[in-house]
Amino acid sequence: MIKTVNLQKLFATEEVETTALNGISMDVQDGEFVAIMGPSGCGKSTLLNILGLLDNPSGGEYHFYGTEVSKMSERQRAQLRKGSIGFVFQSFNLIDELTVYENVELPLLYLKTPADERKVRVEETLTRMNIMHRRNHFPQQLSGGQQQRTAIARAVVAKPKLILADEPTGNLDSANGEEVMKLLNQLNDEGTTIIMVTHSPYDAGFAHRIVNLFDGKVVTENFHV
Amino acid sequence: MFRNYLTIAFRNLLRHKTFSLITIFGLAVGLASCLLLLLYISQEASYDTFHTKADRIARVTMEYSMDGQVGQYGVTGTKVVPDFGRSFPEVESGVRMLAGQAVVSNKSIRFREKRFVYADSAFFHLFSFPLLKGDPAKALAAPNQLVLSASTARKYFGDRNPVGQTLRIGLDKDFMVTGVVADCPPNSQIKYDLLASFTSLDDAKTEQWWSANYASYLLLRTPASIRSLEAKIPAYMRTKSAETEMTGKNYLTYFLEPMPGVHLHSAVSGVFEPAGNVTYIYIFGAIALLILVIACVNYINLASARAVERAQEVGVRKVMGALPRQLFGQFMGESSLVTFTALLIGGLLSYLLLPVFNSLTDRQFSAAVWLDPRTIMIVLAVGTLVSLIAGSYPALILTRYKPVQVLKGHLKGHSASRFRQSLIVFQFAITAFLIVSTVMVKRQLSFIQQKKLGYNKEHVLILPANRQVNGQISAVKQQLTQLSGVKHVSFVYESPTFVNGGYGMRRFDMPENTYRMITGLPVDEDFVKTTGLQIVAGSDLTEQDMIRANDPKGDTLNSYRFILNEAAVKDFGWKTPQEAIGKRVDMGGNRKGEVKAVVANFHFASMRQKISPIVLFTEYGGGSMLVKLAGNDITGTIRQIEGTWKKLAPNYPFEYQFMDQEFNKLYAGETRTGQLFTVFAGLSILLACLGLFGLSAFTTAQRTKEIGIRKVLGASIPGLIFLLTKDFLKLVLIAILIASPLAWYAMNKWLDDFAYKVSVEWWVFALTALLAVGIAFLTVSFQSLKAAWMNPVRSLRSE
Ligand SMILES: Nc1ncnc2c1ncn2[C@@H]1O[C@H](COP(=O)(O)OP(=O)(O)O)[C@@H](O)[C@H]1O
Ligand SMILES: [Mg+2]
Repeated sequence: MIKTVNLQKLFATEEVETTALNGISMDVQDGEFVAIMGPSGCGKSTLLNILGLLDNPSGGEYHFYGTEVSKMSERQRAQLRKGSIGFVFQSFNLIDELTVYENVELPLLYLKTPADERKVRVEETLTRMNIMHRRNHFPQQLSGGQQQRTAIARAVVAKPKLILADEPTGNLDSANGEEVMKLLNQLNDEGTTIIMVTHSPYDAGFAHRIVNLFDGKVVTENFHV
Repeated sequence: MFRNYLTIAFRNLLRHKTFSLITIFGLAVGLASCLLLLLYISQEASYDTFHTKADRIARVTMEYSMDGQVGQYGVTGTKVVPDFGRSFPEVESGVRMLAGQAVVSNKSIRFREKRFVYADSAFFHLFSFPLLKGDPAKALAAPNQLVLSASTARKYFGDRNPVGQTLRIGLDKDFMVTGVVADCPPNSQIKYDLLASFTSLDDAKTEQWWSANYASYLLLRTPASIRSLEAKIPAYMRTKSAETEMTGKNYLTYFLEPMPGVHLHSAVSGVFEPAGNVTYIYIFGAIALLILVIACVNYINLASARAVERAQEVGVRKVMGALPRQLFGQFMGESSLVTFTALLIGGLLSYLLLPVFNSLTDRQFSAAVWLDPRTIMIVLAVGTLVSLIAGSYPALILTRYKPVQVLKGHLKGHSASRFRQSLIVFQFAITAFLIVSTVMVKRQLSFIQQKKLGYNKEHVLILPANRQVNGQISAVKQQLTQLSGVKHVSFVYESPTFVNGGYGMRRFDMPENTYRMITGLPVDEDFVKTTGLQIVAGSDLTEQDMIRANDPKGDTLNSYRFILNEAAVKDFGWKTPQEAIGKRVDMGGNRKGEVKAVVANFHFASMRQKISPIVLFTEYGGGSMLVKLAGNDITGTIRQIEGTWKKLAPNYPFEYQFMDQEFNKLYAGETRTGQLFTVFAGLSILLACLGLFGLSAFTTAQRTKEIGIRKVLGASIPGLIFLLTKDFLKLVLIAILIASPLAWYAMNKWLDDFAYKVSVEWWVFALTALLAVGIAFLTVSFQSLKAAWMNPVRSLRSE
């Protein structure tokens, strides 16, 4: 379970100071599927990065499965992140020089998973994401949908408790987007907690709960049942 | 994980071919230069270290002072070695050597041997030259014994065993071959092809302090006693002052030089080969390092410029759980892959270029040195060091990226970061330095070539005068001058390009035994005409002068005639050359007579020294014969001279040299340095430009969109090129500003060695600036032109 209390984030550049997050307090239960919505620039990605331990908040508390992490060093966060969080990005962020198979294998390499187990898990995940037949292709040789399925495969291959997705369907057409949403939904059904940023009300419909942000603040929370 | 790194490294190299080519090729060339120069340096530094007793062997050098003038020589008389052996218990043994030339024949097989060395029998006891055949204790013990080097043995006897055979030395002496010794290694100061027993020499029968023609080496009982013995010598030699006739303030003494240091560190030259010069070792070492640094800078610059492109990969890896340490390791791994690929190519390159390098340095290096485990260790260490230095900065930059910054999209790269700019400045400063040095070395060399020497070295043949020729001087002169292509023939002790002979001389009105040191050259009546020396007072020598001087029944108090140069006139205190004419002088007590002429100063030594006093005197020296040619149909004339020679001296090979070639040999070291400078300056320019090319390709690619927009808005192509090149050109100019004072200082230091030299002028720097900026401009504008000509629609689509 994760919980934030009065989370703040300030960006100070040479000219301006931006308050990206201004007192966010929220809880996410195990197994929940939460959608975060809001206009561009309201702080959604910033929040997701902090929730994903990629960045530190400037103030407030963040309890990640019982550990207070808001003051942790980059190093400690990296250790904690390893294997427990999967990321999916709008722009896929696959490594161009690695094949589909090698991209998906990467998290397991950093977890030092033994080679035979690695092979089993990568192939299993690729099959599941219906991308096995493209395993030796490079990202540039794939369609957007295939690239995003690879990215999801990479996010789940280490079996993380939590998946963070930042506009995962943003660069996809509706058919491919639908397929990605189904995959995420399926993962959530199997017990994975999912927090997803989206602009699409349709995609948000897959979530149990929608958090609306405006100017770095939570304005409403809608629950579906 | 390692495989993953390797895969990505390889794919990166393949995908960015220009970058890979520039970095790998650059490093390969840099490493190849290093390997070659390392070879040179290691050979120079290893001189004489192969002697197992090297630390106990010392070369004896002589110093004497006569009337306040001090002379130092790498040779001694015959007495030093035996006398010190008897008087000092720390001396275990010693060897005297006389190095010279001899005509050697086995029936019809006849050669002039240039490395013919007489040596004492302890030779094989002191030095570690392996005797392949024969008994080391006896091989040089008795008179007229000869030990041949392996290749000399093959030359005269083929595959037959030479031991027990005889060879004829000169006209009529037969020597018995008593052994075969391994060829002397290239890093030996003692150079021989044939070793003859010292006892064969007439001079060996008496012991003399003077007549210093012999190289003397002592073997001491302990390494430490070299210094302690040296300290005792001055006092010991004072007790011998009656024998040496050096009394009062005059003295004769000796110094001991530890053998391994002689080649590089001795200030006095010996009898075998010109000494090495530690300065050149430093210079070449520095050049090798500089080239390697330039190549490393290329790698650092290009890799860190490209780091921007790889930011996304770093971000993803960090999100996936990579620790900074792991990422650093990955990028260091990549730089080692690049470096060791380059090392492989560089090794191959240097192997292929070895013959070129050998001719450039006038050495015989063999590639076998590289297979030596120690060399391999050094090379691997250099490779590791290079990959550490070149790899760590890009690796550091890459590792520092924060995933959040990167994953949003592509970072805008600062392709011209301060650090990269300073590296470019550094590179071009090195290049500018090397260009200035090259131009200056070349200028000094051509200055030496063209300087008025005071004599005419063109169209003069130098032939070794042998006994047959010396026996019939007038016949030889008469027959040769009959040839239409021959103008003059002169017999002289040695060639005027470099006169060695040292004498003492006094005016008759000076007290006896107050000789002033003067260089001296025995000449005949045709010498001034043959060499074109300019007489400023008095008149030239005549045949009559020669006859009088060589007449045993003549007036010994006034038989000689002397020609002084202007420096000698001044040294003896005469106001004008005219005043010296007809004055009586005494040379060393046994040559007395009148000054007959004064010649304008001429260069009879290297340009490193100021012209000092010299005297030419009437005596048949008979070492060399100078033949002045008319200058038309030189080959035909030489063929005619050869015909005459064959008739007059049938037992000697016909050999000749042109005086200007011999003159050039004086500056062989500088010429070689000049050539090496040119080659390596060229290489460094090439490498620096490659780096600039890669970097400008990168910047230009980054600015494609900007160029497109500017074009749409109406920018002209020259305007765009200026925009894209001006940043780089500014850096090159700064580099030249930094390098100029350094180069100015270094070149003045180098020129300090010469008494006669060019000055370092401003236009050299202007030329360098023009050259460097021009080349840099061409390099950068190639990329800019491509971008500027591109259709703006295409460049705008690229985002
Ligand atoms: N690294 C950064 N430096 C400065 N300002 C930033 C940075 N990242 C985000 N911001 C600012 O913070 C605000 C929130 O950004 P972001 O979380 O990316 O918004 P969203 O994802 O909701 O569109 C914006 O005003 C943005 O300009
Ligand atoms: Mg966003």
